[in-house]
Amino acid sequence: MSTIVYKLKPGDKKGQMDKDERVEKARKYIELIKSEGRVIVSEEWLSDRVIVITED
Amino acid sequence: MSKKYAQFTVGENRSLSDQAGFFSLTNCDVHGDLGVLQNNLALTTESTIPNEDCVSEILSNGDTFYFSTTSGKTWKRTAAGVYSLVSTNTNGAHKGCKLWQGYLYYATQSKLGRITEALASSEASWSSESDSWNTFATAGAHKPMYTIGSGLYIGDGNNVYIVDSTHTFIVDALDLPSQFTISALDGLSDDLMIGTIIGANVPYCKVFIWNRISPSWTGEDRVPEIGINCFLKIDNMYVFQAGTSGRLYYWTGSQAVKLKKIKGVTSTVNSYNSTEFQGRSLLAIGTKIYSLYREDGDFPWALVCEYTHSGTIKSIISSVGDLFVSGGGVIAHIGASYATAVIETPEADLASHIDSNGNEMAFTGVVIPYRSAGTVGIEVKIDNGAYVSQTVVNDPDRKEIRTESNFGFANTVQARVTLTGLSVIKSINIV
Repeated sequence: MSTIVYKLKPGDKKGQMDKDERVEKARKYIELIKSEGRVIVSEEWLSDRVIVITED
Repeated sequence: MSKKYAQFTVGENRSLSDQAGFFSLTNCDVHGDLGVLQNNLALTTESTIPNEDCVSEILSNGDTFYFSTTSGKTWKRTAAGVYSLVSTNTNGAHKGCKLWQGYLYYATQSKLGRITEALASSEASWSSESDSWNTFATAGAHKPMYTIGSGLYIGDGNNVYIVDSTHTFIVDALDLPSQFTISALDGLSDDLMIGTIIGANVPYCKVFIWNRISPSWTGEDRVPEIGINCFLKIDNMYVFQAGTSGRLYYWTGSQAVKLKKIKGVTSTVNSYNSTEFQGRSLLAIGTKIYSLYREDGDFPWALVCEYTHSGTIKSIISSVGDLFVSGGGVIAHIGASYATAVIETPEADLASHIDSNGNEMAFTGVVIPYRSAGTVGIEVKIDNGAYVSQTVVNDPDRKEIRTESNFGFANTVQARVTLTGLSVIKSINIV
C-alpha cells in the first residue's frame, strides 16, 4: 500500500494554480498513475486534498 | 619597492591587479598551517567503475551509492572501497538521489525509485528496489533533492514534491509560476530555499523561500544570472553559485547579495558539485575543486582551488577522511602523493620601483623563503607579456629559492611558482 496526497488548497501568489486548476491537475495525475497500471484502492476527496491509496 | 605576497589565507584575488590575495592558487593548502602554503595531496583514480558520470549518496554505514547520470546503472562503493554494479534502472538516466528515513531515494526524469537503506547495502545485486515507486507529473530535466524538517523535498519543473516522514508522496505541494524550473534546493533554517532557472537565454532567475506549510512561497528575490546552479554546504551561511561566470551569492535573510566571483569561469555548475570536507565548503567547477573557507573568524572568506580532477566533475561527496569525485568516467579520491601546486601572484606594478630621488630601480628577481622545498619552478611575466621559465637557485642556508637572472627595468612583473613534491613556502617576493 502506498499513499499519495494531492493538495487542493491554492496559493495566493500571481502565477500559481487556482482551486479549479488544482482539482483538474489532481484528476489528471490520478489518471496518469492509473494508466501506468497502478491499482487504486481508495480515492478520498476532501476540501483541501485528495488522498489516494494504491495497491502496490 | 619590493612586493611581498604572503597573505595566503586571503586566497585568490579579484583581478590581475588586485594586490589582496593571489591571482590563482591551484592544488594549494593555505588553511592547514596558517602563514605558509603547501601542496595538497593529489586526487587519484580509485576505480574505473563507475565508468559513467554519477551523482551519489552516502549511507549511515559508510556505503556510497553512485547513480549514473547517463544510464540507469547504480554502483555501490563499500566503506572499504570495493565497487560493484548493483542495479540497472529501466527508467533511464538518474537525476538525483537522497537518503531519507531509512530509504535511499533516487530519481529519473519521470520516476522516483527507492530501496530500504538496509537492503541497498546487503543485496549484492538489488532485487528489492522499486524503480517506479512514484511518478513525477512534469518530468522536468532537474530533480534537486533536499531533506529538511519532516520531509524529503524534490523539485520537478515548477513544482515541489514531498516525501513526508511516513513516506506519503505529496504531489505539487508548492507550485511556482510556470516559467520557472526548479534547479537547486537547500535549507534556510527550517525553511526551504528554492533556486530556479527560466531558460539558458534568459539572463535572470529567482530564489524563492518557502516555509513548507503555506500554499505559497514566503519570500523571493530576483538574481541577475541565467540560473541558480548549486547551493554550497557551508556552516552559518547560505551561499549559492549562479550563472555561467563563477559568481557566488549569499542570502541576507531577505535577498541574495554578491559574495565572490571565481575568475575564469564560463560554464554552469552541476547541482551535486558541493560538499563539506574537514569543515571546508567545497565547490567543483569544471575540473577544479575550490574551497570557500576561513580558518579563523577574523579572516576573510577565501577562495582557493584545493584539488583538480582529470575530467569535468559531475559530483563530489565526502566521507570523514576522504573526498570522492565523479567525472570523466572515473571515481577519484585523495591519494598519497602530493599534487603539483601552482601559485600566481598578482601583477606587481613596478612604477613604485622608484627611489626617493625619483630614480627608476631595476627588478632584481623573485625570492621564495621556504620551510621545506621539493622542486620549485619559477616563471616570470614582464610587462604583461608571456611567462618565461627561469633558472632558480636554492640557498639552503638562507632557506630561500630565487631566480638567478637580474631582469633590469620593468613596469609590471607577475610570478608563477610551481611546487612539485611537498614544499612549504612562506611568501613570494618580487624584489
